Amino acid sequence: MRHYLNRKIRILLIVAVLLAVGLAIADSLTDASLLGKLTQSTLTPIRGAVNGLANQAEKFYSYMFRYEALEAENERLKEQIAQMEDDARRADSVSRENDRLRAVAEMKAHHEDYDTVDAYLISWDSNDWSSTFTINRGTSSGIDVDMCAVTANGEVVGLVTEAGSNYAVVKTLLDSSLEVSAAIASNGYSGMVRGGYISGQSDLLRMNYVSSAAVMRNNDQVVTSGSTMYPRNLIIGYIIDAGFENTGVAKYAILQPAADIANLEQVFIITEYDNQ
Amino acid sequence: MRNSEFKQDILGRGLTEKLYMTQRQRKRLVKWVLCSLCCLGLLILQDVAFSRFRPMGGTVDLPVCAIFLSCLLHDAESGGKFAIWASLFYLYSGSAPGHYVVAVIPVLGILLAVFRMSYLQKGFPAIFLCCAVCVFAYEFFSFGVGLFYGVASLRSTWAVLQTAINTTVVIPLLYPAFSAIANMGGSSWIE
Repeated sequence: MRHYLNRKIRILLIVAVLLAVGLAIADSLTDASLLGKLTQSTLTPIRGAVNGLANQAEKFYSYMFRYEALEAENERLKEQIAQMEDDARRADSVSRENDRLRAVAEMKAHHEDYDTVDAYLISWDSNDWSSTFTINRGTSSGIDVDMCAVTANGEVVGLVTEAGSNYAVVKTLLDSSLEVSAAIASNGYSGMVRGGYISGQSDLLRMNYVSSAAVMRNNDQVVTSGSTMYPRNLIIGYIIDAGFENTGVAKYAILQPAADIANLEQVFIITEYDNQ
Repeated sequence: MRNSEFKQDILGRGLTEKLYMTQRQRKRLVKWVLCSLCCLGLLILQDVAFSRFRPMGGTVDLPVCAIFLSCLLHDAESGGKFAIWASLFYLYSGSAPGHYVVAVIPVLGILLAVFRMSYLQKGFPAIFLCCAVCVFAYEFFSFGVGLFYGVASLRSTWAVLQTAINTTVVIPLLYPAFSAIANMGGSSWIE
């Protein structure tokens, strides 16, 4: 083996190690990888094209082999739409009454507006312990790092962590390195939500540092508490389990994410929001 | 000398003629281009389709498998150089888990290539064995890095093992294509 482990091979091994260390240091110091942005910008149209073909193939497969299941899902969605239209009518009526009562009490209205940019997912990260995906819009569309990603229904998906001219990388809520400040909608108790991968539940979220006095019920809604990165009252998920932390001082809750992150095709990036 | 033993060098066309490349050099250029395109294609396929496909709780690491196969099917020197360039591209494509892939993939590929050249015959069983060892070592090294940084937990050991197994299962499927590409232009070293 020593015969083949000659000088050139040893140099190659040393070069590989030094390159890795050098690039890691350089990227952490500059905080902007030009080569990375260039490579991803070049790959984005190819990924988009292949993703389009894959989606068409999936739709054709579904049409050919899952027609009955699609019909049943269509009926279920129609019922859901009818229910949501009914809820929207009631909410409209409640909103009008709310405005009238605010005017009577001479209170200022609490109103949130935000601008969004829609984008389609073109690739997913295949790492076992991170959850990120790439979208087909970037800085040229007004998207920048630390912007929030939501679904069409306002459910939180994640945060933009990298942005090139024609792509952006979104880290989802399921990633255990992302923490979001949240509050339980029914009682206002706050906590921090992060992905449940470390606790062995990679498809769920975990809300930590909840006050021990908080009363948590099944299906309680958890929403964003508002920050520089997230508007207030965006739905994060629903409580499915709760308990005391190992320390006994605080509680934790296990949440089912509101957004169907695994089957996402389109997201909306909140580019600007205004909490009045 | 029989006529069949002598093949006249075909004159090149366009750029290859201007570069005064021999037929063997042209074939080797085509070989590395094809190898790169195959790795690129598998990277795109992984990102778009296979990253959401989780057989038995694990994923598949197609680009890593392709780089290891390319490295092992050539001699350690040329395979190692290709592995370094391919790892760099893999890193900057945004799909790699960290900067350490630029060191780990070439080092594993080169060491196992040297081991294979020293002790094993060039054939599918030897390449499969060495590639499988590379894949398992890479996956568990990545897992170790994740544990060190606190983004992974020991509960996920089964998922990592399953990913390594899934990737190993893909090796025989990729081997024919990569082997055919590696044989273009003749072997770069003698067994």
